[in-house]
Amino acid sequence: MYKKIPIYQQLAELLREKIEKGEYAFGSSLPSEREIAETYELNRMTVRKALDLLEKEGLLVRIQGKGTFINTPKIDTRLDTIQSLGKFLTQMGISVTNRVLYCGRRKADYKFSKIFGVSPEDEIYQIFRLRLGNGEPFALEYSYVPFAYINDCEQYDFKVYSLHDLYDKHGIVLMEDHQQLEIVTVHNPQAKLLDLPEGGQVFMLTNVSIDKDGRVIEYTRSYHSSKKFSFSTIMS
Amino acid sequence: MSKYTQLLSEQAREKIEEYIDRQKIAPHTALPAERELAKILNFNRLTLRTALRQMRDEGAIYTIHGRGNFLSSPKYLEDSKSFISYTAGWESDGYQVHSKQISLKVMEATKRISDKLDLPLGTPVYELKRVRYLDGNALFLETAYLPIKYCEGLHNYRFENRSLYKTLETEYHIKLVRQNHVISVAALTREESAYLEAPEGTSAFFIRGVTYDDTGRAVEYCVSLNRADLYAITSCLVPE
Repeated sequence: MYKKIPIYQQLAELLREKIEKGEYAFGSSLPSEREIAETYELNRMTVRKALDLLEKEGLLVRIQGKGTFINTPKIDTRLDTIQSLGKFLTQMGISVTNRVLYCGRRKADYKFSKIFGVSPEDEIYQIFRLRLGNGEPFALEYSYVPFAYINDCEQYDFKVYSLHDLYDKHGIVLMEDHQQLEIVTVHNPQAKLLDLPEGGQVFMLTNVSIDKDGRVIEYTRSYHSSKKFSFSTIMS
Repeated sequence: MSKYTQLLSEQAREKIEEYIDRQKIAPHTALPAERELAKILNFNRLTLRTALRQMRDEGAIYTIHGRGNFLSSPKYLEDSKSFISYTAGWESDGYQVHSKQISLKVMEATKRISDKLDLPLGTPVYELKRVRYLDGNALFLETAYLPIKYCEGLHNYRFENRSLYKTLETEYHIKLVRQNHVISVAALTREESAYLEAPEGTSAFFIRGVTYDDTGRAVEYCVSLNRADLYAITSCLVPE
């Protein structure tokens, strides 16, 4: 018995496979709706529905008057090992740049005194950055670290350096990373920064890093463009 | 919106979270009206509204038209290190698990399925489609593909309240030891959102995994759509 899957979904599946296999080169344009309809002997409404689905998944980008383009490939980020996002991307041959949106000291206050186990009067340092790979936005990061652990941080240019560089310098060794991955909606200005439409869906990763002495070192909330990222894990 | 304003709404959000925590507001309880909250927390109303919108976007609160904002119950958390479709894991955490079997069919492996299972195109496979519920909430829409030759007769079982993995182990002596997942984002189609009792277009985790037994065979290719408004994935990582 064959399962009756709607035709547009079958077409979407077929196109998705071709894209993932690299039959349509990334960055190049897909054949026109009319051409696809002719090739597979389907009506244009069906083709359009299939393309809508793939556009929603971030595989295609449709530019009015120009055509339909294959979106850049997704990067598989390992959810099961600690890594610095910057290092990971660099290892993949992607040049990482950062835009610092804000950095500065502030009091821990209620929320962060609980997270870090410090007094609400103690100072923390916050860094908000947009991470770009090959010039395209990948992630928006909001990081918080108790100031005392990295007390010379104000001398660093976080456009160039990452927190991990600072940890190395201060002899901080991260032992555990507790992460929570969610899917959330973003609006402007965050959507715009990530080059996504208003109301777009992104991965939100909340990260609490603990060092070998059990101290909570860093709390980071980051928004990862679902156009650019998928996450993978290996369970064994 | 300037970055200064964004900083303000981040601060407002923290203050709202502090208020919720200090007042010990329980899930599904209403928050004070926006105007009142702005007065209590001493924030400009527009800033507060932005903060509330972000909390709504992230599922921390929900709004009932005409009745205000309510605190959401926490999302169901699943450790990324557990297998997709692992009934025993949820049960041991104290959740009530039940399933609705949508279909259990025989089909020929498509290109994707045969690639994932490392089998020739057209190999007969079972396709088991289920909706899984936690505490009565429809959360997961799962489709599992298994080569018939590894588990002949699987169609004689009903997988409503029976664990697939347990059945593979006890009836077919297949010990599953490893699974790779890839996690992406998808928007639920009309059919999918109907099964999951969610509004059409709700976001979902789109998780695809291949499960291997202890002889290294790919035994299952599983595709799961998990409601992103009710569920999140956790992991505890250690250095490589």
